[in-house]
Amino acid sequence: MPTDPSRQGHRTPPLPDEQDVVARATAGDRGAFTRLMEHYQSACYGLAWRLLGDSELAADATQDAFVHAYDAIGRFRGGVFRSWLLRITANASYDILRRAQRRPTTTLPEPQEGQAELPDAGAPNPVAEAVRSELYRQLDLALLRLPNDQRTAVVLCDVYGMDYNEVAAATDSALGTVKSRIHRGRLRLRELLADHRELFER
Amino acid sequence: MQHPIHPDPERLAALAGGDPEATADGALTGHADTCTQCGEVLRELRLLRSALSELPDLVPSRPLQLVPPVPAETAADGGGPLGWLRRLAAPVMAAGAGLALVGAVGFGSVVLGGMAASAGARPDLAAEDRGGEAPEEASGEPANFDESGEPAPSDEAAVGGPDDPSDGEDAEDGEESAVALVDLATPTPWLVLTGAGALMLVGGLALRFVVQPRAG
Repeated sequence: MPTDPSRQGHRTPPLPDEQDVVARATAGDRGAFTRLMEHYQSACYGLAWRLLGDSELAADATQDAFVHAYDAIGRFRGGVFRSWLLRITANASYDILRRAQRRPTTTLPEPQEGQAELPDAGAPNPVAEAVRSELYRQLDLALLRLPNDQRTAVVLCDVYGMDYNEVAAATDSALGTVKSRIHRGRLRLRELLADHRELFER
Repeated sequence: MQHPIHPDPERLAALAGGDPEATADGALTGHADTCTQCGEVLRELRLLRSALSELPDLVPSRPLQLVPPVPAETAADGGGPLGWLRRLAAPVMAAGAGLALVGAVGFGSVVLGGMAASAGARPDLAAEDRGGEAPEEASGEPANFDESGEPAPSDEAAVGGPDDPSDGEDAEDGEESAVALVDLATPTPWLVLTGAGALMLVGGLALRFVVQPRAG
């Protein structure tokens, strides 16, 4: 059963010298590649966990993504490195999801209510932090309750900022199908979170 | 304001996400601006979308290997003569195993054939021991002649008759050693083949496990 994951508290910002590190990694510098993967591993794992809903599968997908990224880094032709790496992670996760769906005996675990995270006592506003933390936890739980196709589309589009075309490419689906999944997923999430509206108003 | 007909909720969800087609739909945006019910749905969907876009990254549940080990090993294998030698191990072992197998099968068939031939020669010897005429073999050669056509060294003993049983035994032993000599001479190429195959197998194993690439 999946347990509530450990949240980093923020989105990973780009490295201060990211362009230089990416250029060295593209040229074959293993140290530079390692630094990039170390920096973005939480971003990749977060995406994989939200797509798969299981810590072990998410770790496997992230590991697969690093292997694919290592093979493909020489062909990286600029752009936002984080987006490039997240696309690879989405593909690796979606591969695992498809394999799991193809085997009827293998089902993804049901979401489990975890313990609410304790607020950071050192934060400027511990109450606000606690509310925010609970909001994130409820959002993640609600996402896991969506049907797989809607969850994948909403996570890629609304959580990780991919456009319709990128989601269609990552999920190997038609554009119209992707739009419909995203829109239905948003409506379903709103219903699932109806009892927690107060968390959104802060 | 209450409207008798509301748009499809999916259209509102598209509008909440800033879908260009929905944003350009004047009727939809106009309705959402004036309908309290749809306006509230749209507001909640926008709040939801905003919260989703802020979801933080997650700490991996276990330490991850940041650089794949496979390319590192491939690089070590591919670089320098040691890597080249290691890559030779598999084909050498396969070829060696094949040669050894072919040699063993060939050797086995020749030895079995020889044993069958010697078993077929015994009734002739027994007939000669009794002093009778030896029946001719299919080739027309008398049974007490070896393949070279020379008389077998047991000629004298063969005509000795049953009175001297020791002479008869000598004659039989002599014939058996002749057959054995023939058997050993014929399968020699098969033995060589088997030995060569075994040597290649051992050599391949040595390449695989003794020659190690440099770490890193």
